[in-house]
Amino acid sequence: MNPAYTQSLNKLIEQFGNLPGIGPKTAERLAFHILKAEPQEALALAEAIRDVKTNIHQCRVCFNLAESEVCGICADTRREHNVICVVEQPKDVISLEKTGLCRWVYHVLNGHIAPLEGVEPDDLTIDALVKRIRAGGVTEVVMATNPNLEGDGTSLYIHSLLRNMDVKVTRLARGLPTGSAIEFSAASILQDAILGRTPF
Amino acid sequence: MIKLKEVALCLRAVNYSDTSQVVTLLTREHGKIAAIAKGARRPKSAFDGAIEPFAYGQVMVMISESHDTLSTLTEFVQSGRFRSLRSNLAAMHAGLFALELTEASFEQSDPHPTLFDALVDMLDRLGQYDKMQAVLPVLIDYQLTLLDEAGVAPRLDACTNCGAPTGSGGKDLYFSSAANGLLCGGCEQAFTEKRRLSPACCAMLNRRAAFTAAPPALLTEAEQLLVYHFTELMHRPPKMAKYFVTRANAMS
Ligand SMILES: [Zn+2]
Ligand SMILES: [Zn+2]
Repeated sequence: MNPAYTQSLNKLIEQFGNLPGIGPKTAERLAFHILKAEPQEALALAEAIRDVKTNIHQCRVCFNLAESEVCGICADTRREHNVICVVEQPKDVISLEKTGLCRWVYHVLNGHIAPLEGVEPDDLTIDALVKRIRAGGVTEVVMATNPNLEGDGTSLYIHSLLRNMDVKVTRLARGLPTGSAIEFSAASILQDAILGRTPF
Repeated sequence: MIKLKEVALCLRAVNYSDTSQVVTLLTREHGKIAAIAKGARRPKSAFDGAIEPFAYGQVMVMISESHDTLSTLTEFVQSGRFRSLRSNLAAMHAGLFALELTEASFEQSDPHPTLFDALVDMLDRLGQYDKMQAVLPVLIDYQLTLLDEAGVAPRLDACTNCGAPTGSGGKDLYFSSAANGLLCGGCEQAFTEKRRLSPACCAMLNRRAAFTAAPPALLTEAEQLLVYHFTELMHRPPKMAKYFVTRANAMS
């Protein structure tokens, strides 16, 4: 709180300061930028923030971000609705879509199972996923949770639920990153690459 | 600062910042060590990538001599020894349960080489199984070793209060965490904190070599008893307990 500034200015500085990666100096600079900006420009920012919070919600089908009841991907009839790619968060959908390789649809779990942090299967959208598959028409489920202990545990749990259902379960490949060198690779990455090798 | 080079197993890892982690390691010769791993979350680091529970290998740690500052992990050559725990759920859960109990049972810099070996051996064995039935004997065996190494092995071969042998008669026995062992029919009424135990389960607990061949019902009963006991010792249920017994079972 700087006593030299008015209450509104201090409030704005405080709000900017709450954003990730923004220190007190930057917060102050941003606040003064807004103060000096044309009213139209400054209010456009306020409006954009309000729109994000009021218009965006979860897709009824896949829990991805959506501005209508169903997200753009689920609504797209040209996509392969028989293949569901399971991800932890909406950001992962964006990353996968950027590759330009995905024709499938998604299911966003909204996190991962973390027993030691008290995050349990019921806290995620796993029930809805099972219902989607049970409804029929799904031939493949692609596990794309993060390749860490929690992500692997989450995939294993989901796989155990799908074991008796007539659906192929696959997971994204792991191993050597393109452009790396075997000499400098960690043992765990080499193990993944050796065990997960594919036909030439 | 003391420089330490040793084999270690990661018990727990929490993200400390966008790039760093605070890890709790179990070393064979120096016991439990909490250390900061700066840059561990960067793709290229001196730790072979992010450090997670079950990470195992040669570490280099700068041990802090003051108790209120963290030690610094400078190197971790991860061997990938326990990778198979990541591909089966029952084994992963049993392994995490073992790590949780181990972390809760010891203070820092209190070395227990025998326990370290037992834990590593247990994780190796878990990696070969994938059914809860096969995993339980390994977990129970380790939990008893852990209590033993922590110096609180419960008495299971006789009444801990009067010393009377409890093996005969076929009557139900009682176990009390406060008394740290079995109670015979004559003594149990004097204790309020206690839990019923079948003679068959009691007999099994006294024959650790026979765990792997024991019937599932007895193994489940033994695990329920151990969860009850660890809950009393820790003054709260262990977080992984609910993946092995329901809380209601553990308390009954
Ligand atoms: Zn959708
Ligand atoms: Zn007695």
